[in-house]
This record gives sequence, C-alpha cells and structure tokens, in this order.
Amino acid sequence: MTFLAPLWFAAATALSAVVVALHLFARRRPQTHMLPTARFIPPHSAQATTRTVRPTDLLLLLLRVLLLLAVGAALAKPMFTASREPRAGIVLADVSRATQGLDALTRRVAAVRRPGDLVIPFDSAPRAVLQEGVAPAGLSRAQGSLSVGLIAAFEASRALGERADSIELTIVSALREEEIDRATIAIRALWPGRITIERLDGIPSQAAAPRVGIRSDPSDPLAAAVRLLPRGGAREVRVVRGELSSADSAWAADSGRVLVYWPTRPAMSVTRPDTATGLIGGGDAVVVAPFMRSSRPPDGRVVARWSDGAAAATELATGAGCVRHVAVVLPVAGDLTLRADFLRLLHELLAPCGGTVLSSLANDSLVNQLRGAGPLADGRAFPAPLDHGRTIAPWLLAFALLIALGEPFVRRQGARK
Amino acid sequence: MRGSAPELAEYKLYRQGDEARRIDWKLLARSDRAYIRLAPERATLATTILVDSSASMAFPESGNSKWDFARRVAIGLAAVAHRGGDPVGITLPSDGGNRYLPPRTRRGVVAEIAGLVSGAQAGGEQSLSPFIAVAHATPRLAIVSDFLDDLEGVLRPVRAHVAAGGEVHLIHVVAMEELEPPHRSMVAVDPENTALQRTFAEAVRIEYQTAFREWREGLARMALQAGAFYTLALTSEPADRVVRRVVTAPGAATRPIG
Repeated sequence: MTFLAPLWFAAATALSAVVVALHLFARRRPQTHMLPTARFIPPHSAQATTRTVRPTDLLLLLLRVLLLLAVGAALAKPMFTASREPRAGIVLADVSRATQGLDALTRRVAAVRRPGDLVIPFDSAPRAVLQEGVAPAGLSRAQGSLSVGLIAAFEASRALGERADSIELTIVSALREEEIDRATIAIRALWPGRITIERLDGIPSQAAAPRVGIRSDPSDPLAAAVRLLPRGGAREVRVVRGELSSADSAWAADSGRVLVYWPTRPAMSVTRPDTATGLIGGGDAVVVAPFMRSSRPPDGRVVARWSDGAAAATELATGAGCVRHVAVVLPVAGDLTLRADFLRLLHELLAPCGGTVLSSLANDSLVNQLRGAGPLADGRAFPAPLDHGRTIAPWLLAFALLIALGEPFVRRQGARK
Repeated sequence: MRGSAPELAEYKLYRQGDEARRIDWKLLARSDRAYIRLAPERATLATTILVDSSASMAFPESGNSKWDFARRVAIGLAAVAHRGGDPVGITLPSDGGNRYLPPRTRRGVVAEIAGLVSGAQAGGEQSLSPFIAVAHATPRLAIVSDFLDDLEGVLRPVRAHVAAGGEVHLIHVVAMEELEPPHRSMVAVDPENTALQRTFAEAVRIEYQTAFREWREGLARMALQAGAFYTLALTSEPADRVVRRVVTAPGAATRPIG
C-alpha cells in the first residue's frame, strides 16, 4: 500500500504523538472525592495540579490516536498497488481505410501481442480495448489518425504504469501520410521511449489516375472527355452509357472497382430543360451549363448535386466495389465535356468508392522518426489515474467516524471511575 | 462507678469526683489503695448511646461506611447493656430531626433501638456537644463518632460529665479509606465543609498519614485526660469485637458494662 499524499499521514502521525504526550504528561486537576479527613492533607497542595505520568485511560488514548491516524491515512489517499511486472504492452491496430486487409492485420496483431498486452484498434477514433484472444472486428472506411491512437495509448499507459516497469508500444499499421499530421509528431515526442512499428503492406495510392473503360457510342461526348483524363493507374473504372447488365454489377463487386452508370438518354417523363444550371461535385468542381435533368438517381451517397441541392449522382455499394448512378443528360452539341471544369467534375465522379483517395505511404524517414530509439518507456513516467477503484479511503473515514462516535462514551466511562 | 449500699457487692478504684464517704477505709488501710464500695441493688447504670450521624460518617459512599459500622456498634452496645440489666437508650442527632429514646430496661428496647438507627441516615453538620451536655443525667454515656466535629466542644462536656461522676466511652470510628486513601491523585473535599479542598497525591501520603495518626493519638490522650475511655474502631474489623473491646476497656468499671 502506498500513499498518494503521504504528508497527510505524516501530519496525523505527528499530531498523534502530541496527543500521546499531552495525555501522559499534561498537568491536570485530579478528580474530586469526599474525604472527611481532608483537613490532615498538607494545605500547601490545596491548589496544586498534578502531573499524570502514569498511563491512565489507555483505551481513550488508543481511540484518539486511531481516530487521528485513520483520518490522516484517508486524506493521504492510500492505494493498493499490484506487484510490478518487468514489461507491459500496448498494441495499436490500425483498422482505418489505410489497411489493406483484415486478415493481414489480425495475423500481425496476433504475432506481436503477448499475454496481458492491450490491443487498441483505432481509425479516426480509438475503439474499445480488445480482450485477450479477440481479433479486430473489421476495417472501416474512415481516415485513420495516428494521433488519436497515440493518445489512447497514453491513457492506457496510466493504468499499466502502476504494474509494469516498462511499457512497450507497438503500432500495427500501413502508416500512410494521411494518418500522420503535425500533432502526431508532437504527441510521439511525449512518449518516453521507443515505439515498435509493425508495418503492413499498404494499398497503392489511389490518388493516381484510374484505368477507365467506357462502353458507349464513338460519338459520345463523354467518351471524348474520358480520353482526355490521365491514364495508366491500377484502379479500374468502368463507365456504362447504355443499359446496365448483370455482368457489369458482378464486375463492380470486386474490391476497389467503380462502375459509373451514366445513361445517355433521359427518362422523358421527368426530364426538364434548364437553361443554365450549376452542377456541383463532391469536391471543388462546379460546372454551369444548360444541362438537362434526367430521372432522380436512386438513394445513396450523393456524389454530385444540382445547384438547388437535388441529387444529381449517387453511389451504392456493391460488394467490395460500388456503382454510381449519374442522372445528368449531357448536351450532344458543344464542347462542354472538353472544358476543364467538366473534366474536374468527371474526375470526381470516377473517384474510388466512398470518395476515398488514399494518400501515399509514409516515407522511411517519417517512420524512423515515429519509431524513435532508446529503451522502452518507463512505467513510472505515466501519472496514475486520480480515481482509483482500489482505494480504502472511504473505509478509513467510516472507521474514523465510528471511533468519533465511540470516543465520548469511553470518555464518560473513564470519568465515572 | 457503682452505687454504695450496706450490702457490699463490689469495689471500684476511687478517683477524683467520687464521693469520699463511700471509700472503704479499712480496705485503704490494708491495701494502701482507695476503693469505693458498690452495692448490688444500685449496680445498674443507665446508659445512653450517642451516635454521630453527621455527613462525615457517611464515608465511604460505597461499601462499609462509618455510619453503617457505628449503627452496628451502637446496637451491640445496647444489647450488652440490656443483657446486664442496665437501662439503655439512644440519641441520634440529625438536622432533619433528632431521634431520642430514653434509657429503658423493658424487654424489646434493643429492638426499638435497632429500628431507630435503621431508619436514620447520616448527613448534616449537627454537633454532638449539646447532646453530651444534656445527657449528664445519664451515668454512662457511650459516644460513637469519628470526632471530626469540634473536638474541644465534645471534650468539654465529657470532662464535666466525668467530673459529675459519670462514665463516658468514646468509640472512635475510623474508615480504612481514611487510613489508606486510594493510590491516585484526587481533590479531597471535606463533606461537612466543602470549602475545605486539598489535593491528595502520593507525594503527600506520608505527611497526611502522620498528621492523622498524631491527631488520633492526641484524641486518645485528651480523652483519657478527660477521664473518658477511648476505643479506636476500624471499619475493617467486626463490630462485635469492637463492642467487646469497649466493655472490657482497662480502667473501666470493675464490672464491665452489662
């Protein structure tokens, strides 16, 4: 047991010593008794006080000392601390969109995890700590933040630091640039030791131009626009201007594929001409032109809107990929599809599913900066949590209250003797 | 002291105050000592027992108090005197009303005395000296007290009583707690004079005991000088032993009380 505020207990001990001294050595007036022969007592002691050097009322003294010590101990915040182990571990498992596959992450986490280690999944926020033998439930499409993971590691270390001399922090992640910001480096600098980096194989950057295939008439103005886009990326995009087939849907179900269904002809029942209407993409692309609205796209994630807020294009997830429905009728005449603003809009409509554009993997210099050098973090470097479940302060206060209630009774009993 | 009569029964040493005409001159010539002749028909002595019931007699408050002990001694003395054919009575001075039974020889007088003392309680500051003076008509007077009252006020009528030919017994009741106070410091308060408070501690124990012993010795000496018989009665001893000691006091009447 240790005290978080030992000065209180020291003060109570000193006060107890004073109480004992006063009890044993204080000069006091003795009790009054009838004695018919009192006249034979020498008169010079008539008003004298006596000094009690013999220990009397020991029970009362004991109660008073216990009362002081109990209150002092309670205020000193006694804590029961478990026996310290040489090492404790924290594993930060990156379940954000930056991780390529759940299996690879689970295998790597299981490989680095030791018995008793805490596994904290994180993406844009920390998840619940995984119990022993439990693997991460799945990956998310959220952008990861290593800063968030490091802060979660700090919180966990406050509890681990009480029972471990050293804390080993392991990060299992692909470590993309998007997960590391300036705060990450500053937070990393606060970690008092080296960090083990278990780097996963990352998905290649999706910021590169996709490989787009379009099924349309040769005179389709959109086909001309697609040809103007950069080419050669690994990501596959298919644009269908005609009817959508089941083969197309099956194709889109594969991981990372995007199927863009952009009918050439509008549904006549809902088509209405706009002399000049703005079409706003999910990013910063805005195109103003005499578009013609087609039928409403199905409900899904909106990837482009009309200037009045109505959905112009939506995205529906299909397997590991997605299908985008674009309800915009392009004018056959004119050079609209060749303009730069339209090409930016087209680029957004061909973006990866979920609108994610993964950044590049962090370079080795940055990873080494995160890894650091030197010994593992010292467990004592982390402040213990203030509210501790194993404190006995309430019990000590209750004990002190019990003594305080019993002290007058014992005092009266002693006075009657 | 015994009465004189033609039919001689007993002798008693002459002492100052005795009637000179009752001296047996022949016996004086033979033994060179003056004896007074006592006649059996006048050998009975009316006895009054005066019991001090002041507040100091109620000590100690718990256990065998001086008051309880004095009552047992008084009843014992009454019983012995009654058995000897002497009229016996009792006087209990009290602030709440004096209790008095004149000397009687009738059967049951001891029980009356016992009933009288049983119903009385110690308390107050009633002085004994007026009652001693009043009891001068009684030939024999037994005073049971701790004599912590005005001692000179007590001895003065005692001397007068003895000078008038009476016989006075002083039974001095002392509690063991007075001889050996408890071994702890305390403020001792005189129950009859609460303004008198002295602090008792181990350091003054010897001094206290010495002063108390000297006072007792002085009391015994003054009692003898006054012609009275002095008996020290400790509350720790049986009352009947004290009674026996009183009635067989050396120098008392040739035929003991009763």
